[in-house]
Amino acid sequence: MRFSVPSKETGYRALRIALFYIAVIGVWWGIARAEIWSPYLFPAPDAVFKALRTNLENGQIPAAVLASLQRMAIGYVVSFVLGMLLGILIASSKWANETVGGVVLGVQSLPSITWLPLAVLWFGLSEQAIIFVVLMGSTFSIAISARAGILGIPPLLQRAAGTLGASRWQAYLYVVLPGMIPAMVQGMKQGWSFAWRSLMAGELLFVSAGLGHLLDVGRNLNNIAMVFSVMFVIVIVGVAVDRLIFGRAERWVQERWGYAA
Amino acid sequence: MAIVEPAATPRGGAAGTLLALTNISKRFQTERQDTLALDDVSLEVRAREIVCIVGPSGCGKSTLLNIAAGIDPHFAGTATFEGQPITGMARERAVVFQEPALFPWLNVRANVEFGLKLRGVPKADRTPIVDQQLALVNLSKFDRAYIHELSGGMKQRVQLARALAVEPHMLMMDEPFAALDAQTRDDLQLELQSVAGRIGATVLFVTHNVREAVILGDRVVVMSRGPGRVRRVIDIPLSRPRTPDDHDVADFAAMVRAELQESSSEAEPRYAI
Repeated sequence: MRFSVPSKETGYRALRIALFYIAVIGVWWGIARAEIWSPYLFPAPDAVFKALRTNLENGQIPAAVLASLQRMAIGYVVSFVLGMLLGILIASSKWANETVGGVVLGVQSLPSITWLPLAVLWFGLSEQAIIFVVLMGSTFSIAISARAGILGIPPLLQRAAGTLGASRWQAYLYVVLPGMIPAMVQGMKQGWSFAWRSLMAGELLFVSAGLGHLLDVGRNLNNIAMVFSVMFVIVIVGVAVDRLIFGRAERWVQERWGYAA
Repeated sequence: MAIVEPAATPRGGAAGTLLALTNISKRFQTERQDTLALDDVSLEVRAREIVCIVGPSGCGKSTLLNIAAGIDPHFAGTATFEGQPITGMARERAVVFQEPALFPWLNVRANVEFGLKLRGVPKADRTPIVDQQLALVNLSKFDRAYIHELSGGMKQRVQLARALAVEPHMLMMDEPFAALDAQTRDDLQLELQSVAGRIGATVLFVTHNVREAVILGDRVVVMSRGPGRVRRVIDIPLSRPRTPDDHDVADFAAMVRAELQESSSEAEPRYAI
């Protein structure tokens, strides 16, 4: 069991990590100062931070983050609903598992950005097209984990609920749904990262607004510092979602089940 | 406790009979095998008695319990509970399983509360019932713990408390102590005797441990296998609490064991073919 009491050990740990990042920035700065590559190809850290500040202050980055997260939210929520329904279907019917289940496994291996040409033909250069790509990124991993989650629940638990008076749908609501949480946390985390990657690729390729688009704006302006700063923001958003949402969910599972999700 | 109630007002069958299994047969058919697990088994359990079914593995004792609990609705014969045919699982016949069938996402308190919540008992009414059940199985201090933090014996005590909380008319126990170490098993046997005595519970208890059957049972049903049949029903008129070291317990256990050995030697030719 781990205790979160701040100790000498964790103090050293923070120091080690801080030193590491200071060293990385130092090496980066050294390389930039040596001017092996010209500054418009390889910017110094201070130029990147300046670009970051400028674009934060002029509202470009906040607007882009908002636009990207909005697309993610819509696509992800829809894909959660679709994925759950699909997963429940293939977990509860042998016939559906053999047919639809096979398709889901196959389509899952398709990088979701490859849906973009199709999406453009169907929906045009529109918001729907990009949300469609996000949706295809996460729906199938959510479906697969929903199926695994349901099938992984010991039948004994449903039987126990039955002997305590649970009706069929009560057993579903109070045993199957909570019982599939550990698998779902994993699947949703994977689905999120697939969707996030495909959103960035999609925005880079055509749509206005969003972080991916801002990256392309930076390239068009030949503003390498801006490109670096936007990449930095993409990393920060990804890590923040991972820590704040999925990290919390994983700790929740760990506390109850006694193992990592 | 409502567990006592049915004894006063038996609704069917012979006076005081809660569970009546009559001419039960059960066949397991697979592509390669056709096994007669139970062959014309009859058994009655009266209110407030503890009946232990003991027999070798494969004698169909757990199958019989599953039929009585309503977990397995496919069988030949008549199974009634309080005069009504058994058609499925019901909280009147709560089950304690061999494996700790507890919900890992709920803490101890919420596990014990589970059946009450299903029935829509308001929170204010649930809390005192759960407190009482946890006290009964000596787990009051662990009500906030999660299942993986408990020992094997504690898990089985939670299962017992969870089953008792729904006020079953009869408790079904399927080898609940089989996976525990000897010390814990002795403790839980004592604890079950005291709990059952205090609330006047009716219990059907399946075990392959002869001594356990004699310690717990008012009656011990000895089963033989191939196919599963009731060989003999032995009354155990000993005072309680009984412990494994009692001489009388040892004597009765020897008697049950002799019966089991005899049945297995008779059964031998079936396997020699």
